[in-house]
Amino acid sequence: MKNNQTESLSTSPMVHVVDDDEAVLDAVGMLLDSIGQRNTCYKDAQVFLEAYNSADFDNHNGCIMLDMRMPVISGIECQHRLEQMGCSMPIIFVTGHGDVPTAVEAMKQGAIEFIQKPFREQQLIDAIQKALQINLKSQKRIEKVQETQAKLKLLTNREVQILEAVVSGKANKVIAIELHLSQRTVEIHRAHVMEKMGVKSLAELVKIVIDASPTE
Amino acid sequence: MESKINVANKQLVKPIVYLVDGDHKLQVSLSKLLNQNNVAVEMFSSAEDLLQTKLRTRAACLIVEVNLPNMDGIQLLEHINNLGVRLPTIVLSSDGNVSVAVRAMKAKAIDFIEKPFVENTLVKKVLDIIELN
Repeated sequence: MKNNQTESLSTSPMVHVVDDDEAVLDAVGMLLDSIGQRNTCYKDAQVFLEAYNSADFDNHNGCIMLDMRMPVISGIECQHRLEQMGCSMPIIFVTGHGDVPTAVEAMKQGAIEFIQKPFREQQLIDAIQKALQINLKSQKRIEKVQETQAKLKLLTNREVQILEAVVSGKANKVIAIELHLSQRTVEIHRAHVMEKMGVKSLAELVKIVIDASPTE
Repeated sequence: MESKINVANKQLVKPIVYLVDGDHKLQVSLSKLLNQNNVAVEMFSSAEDLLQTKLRTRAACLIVEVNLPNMDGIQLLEHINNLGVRLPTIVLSSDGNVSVAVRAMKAKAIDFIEKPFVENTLVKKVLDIIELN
């Protein structure tokens, strides 16, 4: 494993390059260095997955370039395992032996690009930039959701009850009757909920709660 | 009387599959197979033909060949996506290569099938899509 760090900023995204062809690793590593893109090269999927599972691995910020045909663990298999581990980094496949069923399978599994060798350097750079953009967007979304979930944990049981009723569109009067409370009490709880969730309007409250609720 | 109404209702809710492919033989045999499975088929031989029709809400899926005169099948799919219509799509291709397949999948096709294919496999995929809806 070779670590080409052109920038030491821990916040800049990392491109993980996995290919059993050393010449490709060198070429891609050099290409990415030349545009100032942090990257790490791995000589096969096993080495990469070991690194992925290590404690200090940043498994959010970046993207992965996977070769399709590698010994022991293929690119597709590696993609499966990453998905099982809940990897959110976008995957770009690069292959010298592309066939239609493999390409379709890889894309169905959520790969964002499938590039055939030989490729133009610009093609790869474009794909990586697109992948990093997608990654950044999903990062931001996940961060927001986590923020909301942390705030939800601060609510008392009663406040959670009131929140659920408010979000489902019930008026204070209705909530008061259903929970056997006075309307004034509901109003106070409701104000606390808004304050704790850091929102100023009902619309805002509904939006962040819906965004943070698990999608089926 | 009641059963008659039920039958009529069933006729109404019969899902529709749009098939866009210039191959007449395929049109005939696929629509026969799908009809047997209680699925209605509307056939078109070009992308423009389909776009001139009003897409119906009971449309369950689109089956489209890549090679069409003028606008190709994937462009058609992209166009439909841009209209904000969500129509599950299976792309067929008689001279499929990897880059075409990738283009189709990027345009959010559910599947990409190379010709020749076993028709029952396609019918099964269509029925799966209808079930999911």
